Amino acid sequence: MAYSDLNAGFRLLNAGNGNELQTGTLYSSGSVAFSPDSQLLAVGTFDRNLMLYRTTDGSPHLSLEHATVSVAFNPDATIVATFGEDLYLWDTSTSRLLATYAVPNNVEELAFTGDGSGILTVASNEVQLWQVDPTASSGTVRCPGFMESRLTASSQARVMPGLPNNLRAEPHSDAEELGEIPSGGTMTVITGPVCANNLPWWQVNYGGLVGWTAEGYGDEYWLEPVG
Amino acid sequence: MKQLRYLVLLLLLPVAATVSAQQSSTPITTNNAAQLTLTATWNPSGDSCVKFSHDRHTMLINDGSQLRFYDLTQQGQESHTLTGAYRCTIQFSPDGENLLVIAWDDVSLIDAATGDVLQTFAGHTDGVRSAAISPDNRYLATSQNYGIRLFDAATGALLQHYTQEANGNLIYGGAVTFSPDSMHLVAATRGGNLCMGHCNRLTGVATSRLQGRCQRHLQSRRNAHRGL
Repeated sequence: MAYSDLNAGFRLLNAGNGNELQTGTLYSSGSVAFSPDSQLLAVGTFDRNLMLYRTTDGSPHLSLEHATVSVAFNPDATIVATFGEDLYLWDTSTSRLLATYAVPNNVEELAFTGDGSGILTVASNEVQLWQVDPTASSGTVRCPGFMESRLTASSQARVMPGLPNNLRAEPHSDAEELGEIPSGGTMTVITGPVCANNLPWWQVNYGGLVGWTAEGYGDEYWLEPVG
Repeated sequence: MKQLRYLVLLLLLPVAATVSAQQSSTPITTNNAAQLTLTATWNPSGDSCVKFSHDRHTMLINDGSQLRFYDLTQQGQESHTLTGAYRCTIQFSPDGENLLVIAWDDVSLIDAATGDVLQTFAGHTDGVRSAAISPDNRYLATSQNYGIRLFDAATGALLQHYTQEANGNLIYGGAVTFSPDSMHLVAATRGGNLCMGHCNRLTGVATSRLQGRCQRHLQSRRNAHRGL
């Protein structure tokens, strides 16, 4: 069971005994939703994070730096949709950004259709229905705070002229550094991106060394596609 | 006061909604995978809103003067329209067949296809603040000042009227909802309590469990649930 209250935030309670499992702030009154299978609670928090909690014990499942006014799960809870400046689709198991869509900027509510094939964006006087296929590799991704990604999974990439790229054990700036990829170094992109620290992180294989590296920051690309 | 509310509503009646179907999306790049299949707009009023059936196969837009229905399994194709000044407290029944309509102290169930009134739920003495139908479509709960009512959804018979919290205070009802198995009714009260009661069956010990399970969890007076 969950409550929301714009002043007090949200509380996740065990409906059987009333024990509080999790509590926190809300970005907006609509930024909280259960997954259809009731296993996850998605929350857009006031401090601009997207949190997924396990409802069994209230523990965090994943956390993303992303402010969202609304959250919605697809029917099998493999995808959570959010709205910041754009409409984002996230993989609920890996936190990978699956797709980014430009939609009207006054969206107040998101909803998947019952079969998961469409997403509804609801504004104060307009509804739009978008047919989506987030599994399509052609989908565009743009991490919050960065430009559109030019890399795709299962492709080749190269470090652009200038500084080397750090290769890290996890997709985060604080993660253990495994090594460096020098300017001009080429790598195989395995999967991604995962958005953290306003950076799009890609899991890559550089000469047998597998880790995560960032595509760029702000208005600057550090990696470019090859071929 | 009641008459005044209706008068205000009539003055706010907007013109009809406009709907257009578009073939092209507004993608970031040309190979964006999203295709825009429906854009429906309306003139916003105090009582315009969008509602979905529980299975999200159907959407309705309430523009204040009519309800427009869309088939979301057919890329948002408009299916039919019901004319009438409905409030935004309107909601789909869990089976998607009917609509629960609240108009101040009048609560009724109407056929979503025809608009015919199927059942009314009488006895409210004040504005109904929240109402819910159990997922199995058997029960209807309403909330208002001075109590929470539980009805038989099919017959309209009042099954139970909860008026007191466990501490003896009168219930000032807030949001009400049911558990997914339709076995429990949950109510937020303006006293800051969350109350939970057994729906099945409403005799003896079971009836007292609404009072017995009240828990003081919220301090704010603006309690609202997001479901179970």
